[in-house]
Amino acid sequence: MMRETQHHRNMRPMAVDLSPAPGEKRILLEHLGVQGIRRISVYESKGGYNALKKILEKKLSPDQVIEAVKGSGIRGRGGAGFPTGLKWNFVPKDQSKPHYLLCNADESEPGTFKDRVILEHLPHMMIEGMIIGAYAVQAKKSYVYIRGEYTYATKIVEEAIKEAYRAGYLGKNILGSGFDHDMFVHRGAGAYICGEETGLISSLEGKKGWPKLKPPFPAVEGYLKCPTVVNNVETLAAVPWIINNGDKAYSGIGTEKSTGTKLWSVSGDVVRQGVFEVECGASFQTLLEDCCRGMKDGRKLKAVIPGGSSAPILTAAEAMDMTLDYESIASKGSMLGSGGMIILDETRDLVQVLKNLSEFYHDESCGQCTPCREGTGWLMKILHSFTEKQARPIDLELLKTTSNNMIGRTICVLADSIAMPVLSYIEKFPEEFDRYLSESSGQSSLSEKLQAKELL
Amino acid sequence: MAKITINEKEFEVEDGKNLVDAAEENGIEIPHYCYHPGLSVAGQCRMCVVEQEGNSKLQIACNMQCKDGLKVSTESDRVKDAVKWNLEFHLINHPIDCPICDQAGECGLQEYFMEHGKYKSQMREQKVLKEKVVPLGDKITLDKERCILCSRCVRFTQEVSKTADLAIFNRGDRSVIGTVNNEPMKGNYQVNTVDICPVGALTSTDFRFEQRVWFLEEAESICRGCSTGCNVNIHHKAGKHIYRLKPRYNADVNAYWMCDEGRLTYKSANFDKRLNAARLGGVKLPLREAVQMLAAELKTLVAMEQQDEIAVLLFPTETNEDLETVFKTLKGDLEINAFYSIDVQALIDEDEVKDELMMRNDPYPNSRGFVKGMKAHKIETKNLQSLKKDLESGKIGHLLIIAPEDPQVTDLLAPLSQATSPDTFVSLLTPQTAAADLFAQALSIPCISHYEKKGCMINFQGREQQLSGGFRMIKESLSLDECFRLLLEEYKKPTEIDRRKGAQQ
Repeated sequence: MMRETQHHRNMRPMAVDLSPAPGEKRILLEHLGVQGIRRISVYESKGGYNALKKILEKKLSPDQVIEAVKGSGIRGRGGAGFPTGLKWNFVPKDQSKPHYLLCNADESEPGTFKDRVILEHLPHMMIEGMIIGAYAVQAKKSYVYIRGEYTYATKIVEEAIKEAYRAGYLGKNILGSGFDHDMFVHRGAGAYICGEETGLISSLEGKKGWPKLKPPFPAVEGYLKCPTVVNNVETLAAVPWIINNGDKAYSGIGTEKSTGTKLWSVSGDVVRQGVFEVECGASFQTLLEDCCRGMKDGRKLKAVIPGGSSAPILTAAEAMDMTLDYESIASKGSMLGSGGMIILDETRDLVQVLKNLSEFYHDESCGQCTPCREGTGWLMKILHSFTEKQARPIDLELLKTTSNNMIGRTICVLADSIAMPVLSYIEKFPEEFDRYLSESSGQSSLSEKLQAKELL
Repeated sequence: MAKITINEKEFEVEDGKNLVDAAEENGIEIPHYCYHPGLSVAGQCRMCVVEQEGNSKLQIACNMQCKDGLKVSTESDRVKDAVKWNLEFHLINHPIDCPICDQAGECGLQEYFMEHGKYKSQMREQKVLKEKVVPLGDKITLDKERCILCSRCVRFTQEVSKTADLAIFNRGDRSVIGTVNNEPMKGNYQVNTVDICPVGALTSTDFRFEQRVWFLEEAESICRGCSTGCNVNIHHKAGKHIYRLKPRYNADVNAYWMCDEGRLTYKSANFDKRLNAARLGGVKLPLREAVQMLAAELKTLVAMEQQDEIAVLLFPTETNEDLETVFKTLKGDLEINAFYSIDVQALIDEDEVKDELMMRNDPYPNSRGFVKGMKAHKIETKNLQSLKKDLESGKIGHLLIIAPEDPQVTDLLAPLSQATSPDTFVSLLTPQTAAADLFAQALSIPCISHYEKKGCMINFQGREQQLSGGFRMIKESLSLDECFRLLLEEYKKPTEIDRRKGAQQ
C-alpha cells in the first residue's frame, strides 16, 4: 500500500552525497557527482555506452560476455548472492522460445535503498547493463520491474529509456549489430513479495504476485513460461564497468569469493546515514567510522542488522569483528543480503524492533504457503504479547519452535525472512526478552506447563 | 518403470509418476491438502513433506516425479514433526466449529489431526475472523474462516471448468476465497469444488445441514442424467433416502468430476415423489394382486388372440438385464409386437458433447443398451406420434407403460394420457406418482428408481458400466426383472379359461 507520506517523499529524489565519503571506493558511483549524469549526453561523455559499443562493434559473442561476467566473480546484489555469470549460463542456448531479461527494481526490503541511487541518478548505467545482459542471454525484451512507491525514480528511468531509444541503443538493429532489443518499465503495486524473483514474474504476467514453485527455475521456465533472467539493479549496473575494465580488474577488487564493490545503505543510529560504495572485504569499522562518521550522539553500538531486515541480527562484538563480504558475515551467522544495514545503539529495545519487523512480514506474506501465512501472524501476535507484557514463559520457546517450523518449509524465503531474525534476536539478546517476561503478568498456569511439556 | 525406495522399501512405479500418487498406489499415504491428481501442482499446503536422501531440506512430495534411485522417508521423526506443525499452522486460525460444520466426519483436518496431530494447541491469541456464510450463487455456500486456502477450487475453475470465477483475494492470513466482483459462480460444474474442498469451506447448498455424513452409506452407480454415464457414489441413509450423489473416479469416463444437473437427479427418487403402493383407479391394492391383475388382463387378450391390441411403451432408461427380461417376456412369451418408444437411434446418431466438457445431447443413460436389446429380440419401436395416433384410433386395447422417475419422461407421457380413451386399459410400471397421476384410471405398479437398480448400462463410448444400488427405498416396489418374472409366473398359472379349454379338448 502506498502511504500518503511515503508517496510524497518518493516524489522527490533521494538526497545523496555527491562526493565520496572517506573509506568509499566508488566504481559504480564514480560519476555520481557529475552534474546531469542522468542525461544520456553527460553519461556518454563519461564513457557511457562504451561497454555496449565494445561488445557490438567488436562482435563479441554472447558466450564471451557471459565468460567475462563469470570471470569477474560478481554475485547477485539483490540478496541471495548467486553468481551472475552462472545464472546467465543456465539460460538455454536455443531460441525455441523467446528469452527475457527482468531487472528487479522492486527494492522493498526494510533498510534497503541502495538501488534507488542508481535508478534516480545513474539510470543509463543500469540500462546499459541490461542491454548487455539481454545480449548475453539473447533476450529481445526486457522489463524494469520498479517498486510502485518509487514514483520519481520511475520517471527518471522512463525518460532514460526514451533517450536510449533515440540514441539507437535500444530498438531494432542496435548500433548496426543486427541485435534487436526493446525495454519496458513495469510499476509494481507496492507488494514486498513482488521483489522475490518468481513473485515478480507472476506479477509481471498480470497475476497475483505469488512466488512460483521451483523447479522449474526461471532460467528454464520463467516469464510466460519462457527462459528468463532476473537480476538486481546494482548487479546489472556493474556490468558496463566489468566489460570496460575487464573481468580481472573487477575480480581484483574485493576478496577472492566476494569480488568488486558493494553498495551499502546504512540507516539507524549513525551520524551520517546514506548509501556508500565500499570494497568487498573492507572492515565494518570503515563503513561505521569513516563513511558514517561513527555512532550518533556518542552512544554505544548494541546491534547490527547487516543485510536488510531479513538478515539475522549481530551483536556489537560480532559486527566489530566482521568484514564486509559474503563469507565473513555468513560466518557470524547472518548474511550480506541486500546490503541494507541497520545500526542500533544501546537505547534501542530489540523486542520492539522485532515486533515491528514481524508486523511488516505479517503484512507482506502473500498467503500462499500455510507455514508462512499462519506463522507470520502467530509470531507477530506472540511478540505483541511480549510488548504488551502478557507473555508466558513458554512463549519464548514457542517463538523458537514456530520459527524453526517455518524455515525452509515454503515456496519462497519470506517465512525465513522473519523466522531467522526471530531466532537470532532470541539467541543473541535473550536478556531483552527476559526483561519483558519478568514484567509480564502472563504467569503460565499448571495446565499450560503441562501443555508445554507435551508440545516441546 | 522406475525403482524407488519409500521408507526403506523398494517399489517399482511408473517413471515420472507423481510421488504422492505413487506412494498411495503402494499403500503409503502421504498427507496432502492442496495436491489433487486432477489439477496442477500448487505446493502450498506443505503437508506432503518427505525427507529425500541427499537433500538436507525437507521436500514436498507433490512436486517430485518418480525416477530411478529416488529414496524418501515419509515417517522419519523430522517428517512427522514437520507434518504435525504444518497441521498446527493450518488450525491456528481455523474456527474448529466441527459441531455445526457439514464437513465433519469427512474433513481433512479432522482426519489428519487424528492421524498426524493429536497435540494440544499452543495458540491462545485471537484468531483471524472472517465471513462465515457467503453464498457463491445458488449452489455453493462458502465459510471463509474454515478455508485453508489450498486453492484447489480456484485451480478447478481455471483448469477444468474454465469458468475462472474463483480467486484468492487479499494476502497473508487475511486471504479469502471469493468470486470476481462478488458475482455468482457460473456453469454446470460448480459443485465439484465442494467435492475437492478438503475442509468445510465450500459446502453444497443442496446438502447443507441435511444430514450428518457418518449416517450415510455409499452405493456405486451410474448417473442417469445423460449418455456420458458418469460414475457416481450414491450417499443414502439406510437405503431409505438419498442425500447426494458424488462423482466416482473413472479415468476413461468422467475422471473426478460430474455436472451439477446430473448431481441432482437423485431428487426424483426420494420418498415424496414415489409411488408407494400399487393402485387401480386411485384405489390401493396389494402388490401381488396388482401383478396378478396385469397378468390376467394380458392373458385375456392373448387368449382371445387379440395380442395385437397390446402396446408397450418404454424408454432407454432401464438396465440391460431388465430390458432382457422385459423383451423376452413380452416378445418371446407373450408374442407382443407393438413396441413404442422415442427415436433412440436418432438420439445416438446426434449424440455429442453439449457443453464442451462432459454433458451430452442424449439425455438417457442407456440408449446403446436399449438398441442392442431391441436388435437381439428383433424388435422395432414406433415413435410416440404413432402411439398417439393408434391410441386415438382405438386400436389399442391395453397400453403397458414402463416409465422411469425421470421428469422428462413424465412430460412425454402427458399428451399420451390425453389421447387415451377410457376403453384402453392402461397399466403402468413406474417408481413415481407423477406418471401414475397422469393415468388416473390405470393399474399402477410401484417400481424401484434408477439409483436402486442393479445391472449394467452402456454409455456413449459403448462402455458397459455397472449399477450396484441394491437398496429398496419403498418396501412395496419391484424391479422390472422381479415384476416380469412374477408376471410370467402368474401368466402361466392355469386359469378358468385354460381349464375350460382343456375340458373342451
